[in-house]
Amino acid sequence: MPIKNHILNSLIMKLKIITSLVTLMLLSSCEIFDIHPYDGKIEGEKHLNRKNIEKIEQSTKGKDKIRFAVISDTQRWFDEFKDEVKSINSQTDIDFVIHCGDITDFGLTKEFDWQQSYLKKLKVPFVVVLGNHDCIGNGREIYKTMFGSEDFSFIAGNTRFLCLDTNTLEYDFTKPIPNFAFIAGFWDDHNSKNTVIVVHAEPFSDEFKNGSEDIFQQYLHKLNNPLFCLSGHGHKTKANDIFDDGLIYYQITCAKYRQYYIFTIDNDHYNYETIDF
Amino acid sequence: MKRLIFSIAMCILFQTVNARNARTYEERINTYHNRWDCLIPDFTRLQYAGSIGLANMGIGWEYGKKEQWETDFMLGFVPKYSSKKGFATITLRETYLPWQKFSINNNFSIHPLTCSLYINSALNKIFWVKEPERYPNQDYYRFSSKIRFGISVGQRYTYNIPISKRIFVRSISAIWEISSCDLYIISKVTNKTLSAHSILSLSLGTKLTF
Repeated sequence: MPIKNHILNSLIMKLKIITSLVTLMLLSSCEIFDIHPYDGKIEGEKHLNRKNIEKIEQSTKGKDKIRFAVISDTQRWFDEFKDEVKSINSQTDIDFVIHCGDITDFGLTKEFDWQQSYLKKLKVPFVVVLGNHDCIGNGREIYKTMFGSEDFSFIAGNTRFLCLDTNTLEYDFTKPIPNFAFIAGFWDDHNSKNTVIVVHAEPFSDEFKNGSEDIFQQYLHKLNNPLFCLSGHGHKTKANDIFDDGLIYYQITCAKYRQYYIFTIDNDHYNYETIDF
Repeated sequence: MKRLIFSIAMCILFQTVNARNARTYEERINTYHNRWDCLIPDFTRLQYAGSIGLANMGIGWEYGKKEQWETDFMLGFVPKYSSKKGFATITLRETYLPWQKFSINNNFSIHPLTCSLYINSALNKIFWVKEPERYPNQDYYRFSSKIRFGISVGQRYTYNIPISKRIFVRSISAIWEISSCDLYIISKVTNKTLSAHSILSLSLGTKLTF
């Protein structure tokens, strides 16, 4: 009986090895079979925002001072994006990177995968906000699978980061954008001292123009010490006090124009620099 | 007498006209049938992947002096994967076979090169030809998410069924093709760091010729 068992076991082992080898071969060759440009068949990693947020919250826990890079609109500027990642990697003391959206140009599934492979060359964790180009076709669903929810938040050091979907043009009013209920959920936030708001399109831009801009701003003022807002979309680096109320919107240009921000938050003060690469 | 001659003449004339009419009618009907016969598909084709759908099925026509041109029309299906819903696609393809097939023996032959251009349309309302009216201008995105233009090259291996064994089809071909579409090509052309193989797609298929 033991001999028989031994033979059976070795047979099972062999079978297992063969099946795993065949599956590996099939999996590795799978990518070459493209089903459709908009198939939504993600080859790369999924739920990246959640996984990276865990890393960010862990590494910045208890810190009074945090430093992070802000990039945006890397859509179809892969060459420039590669240099941007290199430049950020050469910076010291960066805790994480915030991407303000538009990682794709056409919303193609492959674009999401390509951009992910470039993003993964970053040495520090990153989060990606939803951009309007990322909503084209079934892009929104792909974003949700690859990165996570359109509205999300995390804490770095003592600062709450509120990342919001403000792409009002991409929806036929089937979902409230901006998500006011989500913002209001952080009005009584006891876990943070400051708040930084991250959006893709700033209020009154062609993408966020649905008449709710003033209410949006009022909602932001009820958050814990709102420090500043970050945005992309405009392909222009500029700092603007849009509502004349002291809450500055810092917009970062696209990868094509080779610029990104580095922000430093120290307790309840902040400063920033614009880096050319 | 005059009346008799007239009647006979009329009869003969009528007969001739009748006969000529009959011949013309037959010819016309034949031409008419032949013309409609051209519309009967010459082959049916199945394809896996190739950026037009997971599984695709269609019909096509061969023409040209050496049957070096083919036009086919396919219906495809894309499963939902990460999307909310799967969708159907339609593809119109024009293929050119620059060289005649090489016969290995009586039954096997190879087409060393096939070149195709195709237009694919995604049949789902989330895709548009022009941006919906809610956008501030009609060149907000400056492309169509619904219509894709593609190009492909490949090979065919054909088995010609011996006449005695034919049941429904004359020959069966195995096809492989490497393809790419407009948006992939634009992405690659504008970026050196994007690898060439990442924009290519392999497809496998069969063609059954009647």
